[in-house]
Amino acid sequence: MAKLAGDPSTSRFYGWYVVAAVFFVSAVAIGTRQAFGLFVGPWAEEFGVSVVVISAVSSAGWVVNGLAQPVVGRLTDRFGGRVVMSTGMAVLGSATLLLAASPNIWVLAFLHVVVISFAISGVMFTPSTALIARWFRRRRGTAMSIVTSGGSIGGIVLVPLLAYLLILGGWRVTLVAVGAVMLAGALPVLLFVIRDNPEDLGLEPDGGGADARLDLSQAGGQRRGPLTADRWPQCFRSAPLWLLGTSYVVCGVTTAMVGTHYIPFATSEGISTGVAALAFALLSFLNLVGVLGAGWLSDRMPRKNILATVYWVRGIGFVLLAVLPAGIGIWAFAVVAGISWLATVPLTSALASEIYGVKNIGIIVGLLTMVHQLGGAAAVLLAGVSFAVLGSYTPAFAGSAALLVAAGTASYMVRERTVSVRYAGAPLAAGAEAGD
Amino acid sequence: MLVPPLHHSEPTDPELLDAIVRKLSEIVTLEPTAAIVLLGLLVAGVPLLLVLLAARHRGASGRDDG
Repeated sequence: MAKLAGDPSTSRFYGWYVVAAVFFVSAVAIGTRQAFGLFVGPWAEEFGVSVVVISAVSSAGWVVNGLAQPVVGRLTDRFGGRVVMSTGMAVLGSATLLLAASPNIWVLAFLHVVVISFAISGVMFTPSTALIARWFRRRRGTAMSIVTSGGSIGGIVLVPLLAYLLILGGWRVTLVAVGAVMLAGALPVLLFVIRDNPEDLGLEPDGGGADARLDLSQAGGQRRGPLTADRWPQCFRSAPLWLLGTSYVVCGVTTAMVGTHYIPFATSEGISTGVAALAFALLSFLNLVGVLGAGWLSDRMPRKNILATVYWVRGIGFVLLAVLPAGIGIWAFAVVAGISWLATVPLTSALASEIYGVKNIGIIVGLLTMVHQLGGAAAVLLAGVSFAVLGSYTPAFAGSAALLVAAGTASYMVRERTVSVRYAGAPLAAGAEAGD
Repeated sequence: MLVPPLHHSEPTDPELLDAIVRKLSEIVTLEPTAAIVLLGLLVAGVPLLLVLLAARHRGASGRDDG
C-alpha cells in the first residue's frame, strides 16, 4: 500500500471541482431515475392502466437506455463530455417538464421510453467516467468512485424529497420540480464548472506531478500502452475487453435480479416487506462504503485484483442467500453483497481507460454498459420464469453465485501489468507492482 | 441510506421503494413541508455553491494552477 510516486497535493486541483460537479449531476439524474417506482401508482390511477403497463414502460426505457450507451459514448469521444452532458441534461429537464403535462399514457410512454431514457444516458456514467478519465490518472479510481457514489447519494436525498412532494402536490407538480432542478441547477453546473480536459485550463491530469510530463502523446495528456486504441473497433481484437465485458454482464445480471426480485423473494419466504426494506437499506449504506473504499484501494493496488475480489465477495453473498434460512440470509446478503454492489462501475471504467486509452473510452464504457444493461434485463425475466417453474429463487441465486465466481476469475485474468498504461513507462504506484 | 442503489438504469421495484419510503417516514419524523424545505434548500444550494467556488478558483488560477 505504498503511496503513489510523486503524488502531489491535489487539494486545490480543479479536477476535484469537475468531480464535485459530475457527482451532483449524477445525484440528480440517478436519484430521480431511482424514484420512478414512486410514480407507478399515481400514473396507473390517473390514466386507468394497470401497474403492469407502467412496468412495461419502465422496462422498455431500460432497454433504450442500454442501447443508447454506445451512441452517447461515441458522441462523448467526438464532442467531449461537457457538450454531451449539457445537451443530455437540457433534453432531460425539458422532457421531464413535458412529462408533467402528459395528457395520456401514450405521450407519457413516448417521453419516458424514447426521450428521457435516451437523454439520461447522456448524463450518467458513460460520459462522466470518460470525462473523469481525462482529468485523473493516478487517482482515477478514487475520482470515479466518488462520481459513482453520487447516484447513491442522489437516491438518498431525492427519493424522500419526491415522495414528500408527491404527498403534498401530486405527480405533475413533483415532475415540474424535478425538471426545474435539472434545468436551473444541474445544467448551469455542467456549463459553468465542467471542462473537457485539464489542458483547457492549462493544467495536467491530477494537477501535475513527477510523471505528468512523460509521453503526453494523447488527448488528455495520457500515455500510450500496448493496447491503446486509435480506433475503437481495435479493442474487439484484444482479450481484456471480452474479459471485462463478460464480467460486467454478470454484474448487470446479479444486481438487476436482486433489485427487482428482492421483495417477491422476501415475501415468498414469509419475510415482511418492512424487514426486507430495512435489510436493503443496510445494503445501500454498505454500498457507499464499498464503492469509495474500492476506488481508493484500486489507486494503490492492481485494479483487476480489487475488481475480481468485488465479484467474488458478491458471489459469497449469493451463496449465503441461497443456503442460509431466508430470515438470516437477507441480512448476511445485505452485509456481504452491499460492500460490492456499485464498486464494479468505477473499477471497470478505470481499468478500461488504462488499457485502451482515453481517446475512445466513451464508446468502450458505453459498450460495456450496454451489455451490463441487457444482461440485467434478461436476468430479471429469467429469474421470474425460474421462480414460476421451480417455485423457488434458490436456483437463481445459486446460479448467480456461480456466475460471479466466473466473473471474478475473468477479471483476475486481465493481464493488467502487461496491458495497462498504468504500468507503462514510469512506475506509478510502488504497491501496485505486486500481485499481477 | 434507504434507497436501492441503481447501477445504471434498472427499473426499481415500486413495492420495494414504497416499503423503503414508509420505513424512512418512521425513522425521520419530519413534516412533509419541513422535509421539502430542508431537502429543497440542499438541492438548490449545492449547484450555486459549486458554480461560485469553481468560478473563484478559476479566477485565481494564475496563482493557483498556472
